[in-house]
Amino acid sequence: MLWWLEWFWGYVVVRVTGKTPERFMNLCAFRRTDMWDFAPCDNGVTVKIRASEFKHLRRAARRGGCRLHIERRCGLPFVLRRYRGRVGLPLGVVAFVLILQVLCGRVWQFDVQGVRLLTRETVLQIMAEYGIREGVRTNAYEWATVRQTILHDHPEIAWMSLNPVGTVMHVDLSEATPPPDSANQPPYSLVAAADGRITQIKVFAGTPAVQAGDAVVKGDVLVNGAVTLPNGSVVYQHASAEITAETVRRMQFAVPLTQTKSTRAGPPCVRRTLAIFGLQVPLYLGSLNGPYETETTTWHWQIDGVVLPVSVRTAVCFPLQETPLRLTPAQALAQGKQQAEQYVQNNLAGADAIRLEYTHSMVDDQLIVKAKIYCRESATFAEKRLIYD
Amino acid sequence: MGRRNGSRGDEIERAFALPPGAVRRDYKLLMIGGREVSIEGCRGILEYESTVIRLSLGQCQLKVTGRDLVIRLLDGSCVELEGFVTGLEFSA
Repeated sequence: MLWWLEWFWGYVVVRVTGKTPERFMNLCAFRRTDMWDFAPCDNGVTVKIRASEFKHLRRAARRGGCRLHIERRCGLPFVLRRYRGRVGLPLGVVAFVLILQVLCGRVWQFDVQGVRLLTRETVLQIMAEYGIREGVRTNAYEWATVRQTILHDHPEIAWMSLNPVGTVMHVDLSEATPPPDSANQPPYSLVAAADGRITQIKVFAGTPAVQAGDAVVKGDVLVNGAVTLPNGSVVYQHASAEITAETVRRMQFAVPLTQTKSTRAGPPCVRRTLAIFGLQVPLYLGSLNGPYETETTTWHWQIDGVVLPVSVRTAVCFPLQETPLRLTPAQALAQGKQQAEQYVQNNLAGADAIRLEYTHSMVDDQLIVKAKIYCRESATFAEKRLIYD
Repeated sequence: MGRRNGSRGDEIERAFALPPGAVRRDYKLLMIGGREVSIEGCRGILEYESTVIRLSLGQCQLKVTGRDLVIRLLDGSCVELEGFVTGLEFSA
């Protein structure tokens, strides 16, 4: 018998002593009792027998004039018997096996590779659209089909592979290179987006309508998309040029003198949420009333660098109190200047703001700040206008 | 009509071209390399020591001599022996 089967069913090593152990052996063999490894010893033999059959030996021993002495008990039933008073132990073992079985077949984390313009979060969001998130069973999907569906629905992804390895879902993707904007557009010319003076112009396609040093106003054609060939015929192109100009932009910002200011008031309220395999379990009761500001931190459980699918999100909520605030004209002007600088930063990317000039006036409890923005622009100066418009 | 040679089991085996021992309840003995002996059709153990094991095979007895002899398995009429077998002796 295989040793692990012997161990699983349990066996006892019995020493049989007496006048005729052979008779005892014959009686047992006649009963087809499972016995093995007979070894002669002093005044008898030792034999291994399955634990459940030991009780049947007594009669054979009596008839054979032998005495039985258990030398050793081995196997799983005896190990379990040793711990029979401890219910928690077998329950723990069963729970361990079940939990292991359940957890091993699920995705714990995602490993996203190959993102360039997309972000990891975007990719995970796309995956979530198809139900693929933390906790999903690795054999629940036909991954090749899911991959094809994602590629079909998301043209921004040129290629992708989904490889569940253990509990990690490896997502390798290659982003598609978007076609140029002009590819599907009719021919266009480039016109000035603001008033200014051209300082430099390099034309790649189209007919230049201005040259360096020319002053232009908003809407003037800079590069014409219509090109006249030497034979007199006209072809229409997507005008392309690198144009640098000094411009003056005029903006105005209204700053009300009466404002409301939100300030943190009262003790913060901490709210924790436990996330297991994407399942959100709030660890708090009740809800918050009124305006509040939240600062969130997330703690991921890691063991030896491996991120487990258990995280705790802690949100510290600060109640806000809104108090009316009356600005002085100087404060309002400073705020207006700040808004102008913010505008330059956000809307004139790639342009160098050379100088800003401010004027202000008061209208209906508002300070109107007018900003004159002198800047040197290249990318934002020219804008497209279709030739047929 | 000539005299019948052998038992009825012999005749059946011969008539149906069966392999020897398919019908007869006779013992079979297999010895592997002088270290293992397997006997099928054993009727009982008559003597068991580490140097000699004597088995009843019905009409005859088999005496296995050697050293460190152990009975590895005893299951009904099947006996498996292990050890350094130095001799096999049949006696009526």
